[in-house]
Amino acid sequence: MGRKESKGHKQAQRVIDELNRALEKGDGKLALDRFLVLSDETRASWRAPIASLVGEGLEKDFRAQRWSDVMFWAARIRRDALLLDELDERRRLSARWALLWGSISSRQWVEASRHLDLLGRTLAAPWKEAIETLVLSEGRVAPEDMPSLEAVVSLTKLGQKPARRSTPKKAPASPASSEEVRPAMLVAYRTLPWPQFVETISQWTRVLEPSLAQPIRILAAELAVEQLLTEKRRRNATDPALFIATMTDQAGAPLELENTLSLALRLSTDSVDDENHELAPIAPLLAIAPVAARYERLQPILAVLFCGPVWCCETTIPVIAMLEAIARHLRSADLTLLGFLLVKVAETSVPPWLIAKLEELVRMPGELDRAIVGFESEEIRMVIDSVCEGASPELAADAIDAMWQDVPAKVSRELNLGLVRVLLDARARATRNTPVDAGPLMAALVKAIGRPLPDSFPWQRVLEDPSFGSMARVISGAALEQRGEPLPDSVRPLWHRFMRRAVPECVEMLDRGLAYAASEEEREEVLSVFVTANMRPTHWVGAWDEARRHKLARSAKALEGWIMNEWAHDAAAAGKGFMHAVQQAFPKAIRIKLANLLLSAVEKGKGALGSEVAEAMIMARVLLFGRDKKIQPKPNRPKYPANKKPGKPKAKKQNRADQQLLLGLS
Amino acid sequence: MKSDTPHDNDVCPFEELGIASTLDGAVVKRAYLAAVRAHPPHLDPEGFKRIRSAFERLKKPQDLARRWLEQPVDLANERHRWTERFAQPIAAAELHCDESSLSIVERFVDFGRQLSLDKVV
Repeated sequence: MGRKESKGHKQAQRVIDELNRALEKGDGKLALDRFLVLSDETRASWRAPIASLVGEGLEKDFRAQRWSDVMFWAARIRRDALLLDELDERRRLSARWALLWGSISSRQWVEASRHLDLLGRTLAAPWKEAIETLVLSEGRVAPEDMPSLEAVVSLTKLGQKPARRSTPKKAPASPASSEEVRPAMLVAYRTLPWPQFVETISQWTRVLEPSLAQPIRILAAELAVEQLLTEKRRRNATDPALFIATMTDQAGAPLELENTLSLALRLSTDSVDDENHELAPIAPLLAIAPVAARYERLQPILAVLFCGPVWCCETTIPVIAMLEAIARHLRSADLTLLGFLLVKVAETSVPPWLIAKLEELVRMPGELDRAIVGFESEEIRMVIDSVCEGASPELAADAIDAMWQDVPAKVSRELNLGLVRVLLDARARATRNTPVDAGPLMAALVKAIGRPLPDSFPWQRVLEDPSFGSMARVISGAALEQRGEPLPDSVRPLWHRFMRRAVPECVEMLDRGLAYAASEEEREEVLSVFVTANMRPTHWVGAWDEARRHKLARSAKALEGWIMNEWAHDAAAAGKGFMHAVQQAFPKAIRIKLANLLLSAVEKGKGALGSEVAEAMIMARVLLFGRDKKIQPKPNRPKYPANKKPGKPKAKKQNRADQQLLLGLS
Repeated sequence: MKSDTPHDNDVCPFEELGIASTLDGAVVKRAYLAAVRAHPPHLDPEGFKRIRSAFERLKKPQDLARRWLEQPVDLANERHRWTERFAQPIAAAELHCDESSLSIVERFVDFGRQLSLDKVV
């Protein structure tokens, strides 16, 4: 008996040792096994640490869906009814939940029912009812109870993000009929990772017949909005944006997708700044915008979006490519002119599609002039430059003509410069029958730079570049003009077309017009156009001064002649002109000529003189006789009297006319 | 290009007309006419002036587009609309159309045993 007791004691001690070792190692399964060998009385002191290990192990195996391991725990937990009571409530309920599904998986319905009861009111009512239905029917749920099982799953999923799996999965079978399209699409979207979904749908739309492919495209674009909303937060929306754009485009931009596309467009626009230096943020917009151009309602957005911001080196070329795609569906003067501007910014040649668009637009009255007003002065210059470089002189002239309708002064000034360029280009073309020999010009350019260019310098490419050819022609044209060669007959109609608009703009254009005039009548007409547009006499004097300052001898002479002729009998106008010259401190030569003109006009004129003229006359006399007597020295009076006696200076004797005037003024 | 930025104290014209931001000119016009009926010029000249000003700011397609672009996108609302429209059909379709042809019960068990307790309390 004693030996037996001793043996039993030793065995118990061995179990306890093993249990201690298992607990030290954290081996829950071994610890639980050793724990269950112990007598009920002995277990009490070990229950709490064992329960903790069991709870951890069970939760881990449940999460990993290791159902045989879950059942291992379940079988042993059954042997100690108090074990789980040692856990806190949250862990105890979680363990019961794991054991419930372990029992259901192994079809141990009685056990499952017990766990369900112990979970009690913890579960949400729909779930409790659904599991009860399953457990009570022992897995043979009646058909009428099936919807409740479906509903509880759907409702739970509705509260979650319908996340797609991150690991690739076999794609679902492609739909064979129109009824299958929607379920197949929804399952594909739910189960496939995004890249695989895109690939699968692209393949379906390629291989399936149009009656199936079309609804697939529409639904795919609508589903992809969720991806766009998700990626929008992560700033990586290019892929879904491109997918939506592709699907909508392939579907022929149906009305059903207008709202989807406008949302996609709106989401993409947030990344557009006033100045766009990088391509990545605007990539989604560049993908969507060409498709948006297919919807009439979205078209006004594009002009607002793209004509406002500044596009920098990195982004210019992609934006031009996008404008080309937009141009296939939309005839927009704003975007076409933006295209010309960006071509200039990118220093590239004008593409043919842009020329074709310009040809269309010049036939649409009111479009180009409305659009050009929206650009800044510097931009207008670049646009006109680009138009002149890329288009033929005739088309460039047509474009300038179309833009030159009721535009503000700053725009017409820039258009003038464009016109000059067109004229120079046209006269170079007209003068030389062969293409411009750019070689000597380049040599001159190199000489001007002052250092030799490397051998690897792409001469040929430069010489063949259309914009260089255009520049070379302009230089040639300028050289011809400077040599005073007459305007070729073929260019003359082009000049006449713009003469009445161009000449009033500035004195330079007057000078150019006078140079181009082939006869005296034409010269008179040009001058008449200028002075008639600048109606106020003070403007004539200003223009005369400007012509002198810019050494435009033709204009200066013509304007002087005009003024002398017009005011010879008009003392009032001559007076105003003279006073303007005095106030503006124009050169003395102009003031003297105007002073003489004024006095002469007063002498020739009849009737009473106004106070303004009287004042001007005083000023004129002071100018002519008061300060510089060399102009009209009094006869028979020596410059320096030989024997001048000191004494009280005599009061200056005023002539009769001055006395009268002063009396009149006082 | 020149950009027409709104003034700081500029009240949203869509709000003034009592509509959500839209690109539909017809919707704007309908809202304007309804607002005019509510604020006729002889009874409420100030209200009419405000409404007229809001309509003027949305009359041209380009102005409408500019104002539409100025309105922020309510991402949460868009997501909610998408979920309302697609979440349940997706879940239902998944139940019906998976290739493994599991029965509804097996699907229910499969779904249930992947859920943690906190999802069903």
